[in-house]
Order: sequence, then structure tokens, then C-alpha cells
Amino acid sequence: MRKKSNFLPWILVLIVIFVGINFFFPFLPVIREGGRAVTFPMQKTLHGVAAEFHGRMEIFRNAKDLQDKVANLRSKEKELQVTLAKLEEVKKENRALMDALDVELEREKELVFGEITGRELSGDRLLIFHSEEVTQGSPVVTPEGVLIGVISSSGERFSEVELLTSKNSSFEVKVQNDEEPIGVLRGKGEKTLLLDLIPKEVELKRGDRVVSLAGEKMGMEDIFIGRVLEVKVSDVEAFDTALVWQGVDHRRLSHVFIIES
Amino acid sequence: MKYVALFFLVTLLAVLQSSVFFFFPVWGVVPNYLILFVVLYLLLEKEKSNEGLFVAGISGFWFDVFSGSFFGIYIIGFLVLAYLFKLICKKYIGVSSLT
Repeated sequence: MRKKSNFLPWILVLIVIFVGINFFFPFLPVIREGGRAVTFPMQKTLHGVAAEFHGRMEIFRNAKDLQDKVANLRSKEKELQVTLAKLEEVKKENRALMDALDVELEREKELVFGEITGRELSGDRLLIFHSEEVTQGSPVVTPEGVLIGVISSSGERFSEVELLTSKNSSFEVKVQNDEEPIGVLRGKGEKTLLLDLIPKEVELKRGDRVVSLAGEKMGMEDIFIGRVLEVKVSDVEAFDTALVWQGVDHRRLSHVFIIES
Repeated sequence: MKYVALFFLVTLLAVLQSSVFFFFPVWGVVPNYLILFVVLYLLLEKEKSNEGLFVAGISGFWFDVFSGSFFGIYIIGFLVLAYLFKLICKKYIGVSSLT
């Protein structure tokens, strides 16, 4: 007669142990941090190699468009240099005025450097390593200052970033230099973001700069998110919608900054 | 010795899954090779062997490490599913594995 499998009771015992451990041992995240710390060097190296390889493949695939893009970028660079020179002048003027009026600058926000080690296995989140402590809900930006997500779970050295493109992400945003919210920004699991619940009276146009609005889920205001790509006006629906383009390829990011106030 | 080798193999696969594979989606979707490996191992292992369950447990552990949910949920989930997978194969298909 075949011996009956006795694995089921062991699974039940495991369930009891894990439930017990999770409820009675709050130091359990140490195991998770430890596991991530052990694999961190290998993960970092592999991520770097894969990003490099992927980048080279992209160039190879888009070789035809590359020349046009370079020409476009050169003309844009000239325009930006002119803008930059003007801004420098404005900055100097602003500083002189502030000195004259004895106005103190707003306390600067602290930027914490974070290295991307990989992606979470069960969702649309980035895993990052940081040498300083960060808090849950802190905004995460690219080196260019584009908001890509918020810290969804923070550890001593490793944290997770819930991406704006994730389907679970949604919060109120506004157009730069405006005060009122213009709608709710939602992730679609794709490269573009959906700006939903835009009131009919709001006049949104292609190219408008969308920035964060301080609220329940987002701790800071005026962080650049992206530009309006397309506005969809509907006569039937109560609200309009729009697509927001960030221009960030998460896969090619190697490091980010966490804004701590 | 085989268990040690399996442990390192699953660990390597988990690290690759979290850091490399998402660069290379297949028709827009990134397959979870770790789950595929567990399923294949369960299908191809010997009938009386418990290595598949070990592989499922270790895979669950790395899922727990590389995700932010309740710790242990994936270990239990993987073990229960692997056990049920073996049981169903044995009971309804007549064999517990393809070998």
C-alpha cells in the first residue's frame, strides 16, 4: 500500500508559525532587509548590465531616427541656453530684491540619493537602496526633477517606490502656477498617465505642465510630473480626461532622489 | 547537495527576475520565470520527490523578500499551490509528474 503524504499538516504548521511571527515579532522586516542586502551587489550589477544592453539595443533599433533627433536636440539646446541666461539674470535680480527686503529663503528640502536595484516581483514598484533613512509617502524624483512615484514602504536601507504609472496610483494634481486642482492623475500600467475628473470649466491644452499638489497621498507641492499630451473632451461625460506624458523610461533609470522635508 | 544547488538556482532566478527580465518583455508582458520554473519543476520531478515543494518554498521566500506585503504570505501560498498541484496531478491525471 502506498504511503499517504503527510505534507499537509506541515503546511498548516507553517501557516500558524508565519501568522504568529507576523503578529508577535515586529522585527520581521529585518529578514526582508537582510535578504535584499545579500542580493544587492549582484542585483545592482545585473541591473546595470541589462540597462546598458537595453540602451544599446534601443539605439541600434532606432538608428534611422537618431540623426533627426540629434539635429532637433541641438536646436533645442541653443534655445535652452538663451532661456538659461535669462533665468540667471532673473535669479540675480530676485536675490537682490530678497536681500533688500530682508526675506529669508524657504528652508531647502533634503535630497536623499537612491540607487535602483530592481523591480518588485509581485507589482509595479521599484526597489531602491539608500544610505539615509527615508519616510513613507516621500516623493521620488529623477535626476532631472520629474516625479516618478512615492515611497510606498520604507526600510532602514531598502524601500519600495510605487510608480505613478502603477494602476494603484492616483492623486490630485494642478497645472503649474495655478492653485486649484484640475483633476485626479491615475496610472494605467502604461507609459502615459491618465488625468481624470477634469471639470468642464478648466481649459487645459496640449503642452501644459502638470505638477503635484500637496494632499493625503502626496506630501509636497509643485513637483513637475509631465506635460499634457492630449485632451479628450466629451459632450456625454460629466468630466473631461487628458493624457499626461512624462518622458521617463523607468527601466533606464539607475538612480533617483527622494525628497525629504 | 542538490537542495543547496536548487537554493542558489532559485535565488539567481529571483534576482534576474527582479533586475533583468523586466527589460525584455514578451509581447508587452514580462513573464514570471520564477513561477514557470516552479511549475516545470513540479511537472518534471520524480513522483515521490519533495524537491518541487522545496523549490516552491524558496521561490515564495524570495517573492516575500522582493515585495512589500505581509511576510510569509508567498511562502505559504507557493507551498499550498505546489501541494495542490501535485495532488491534482496525482488524483485526476493519474501521475504526479511527467517523468
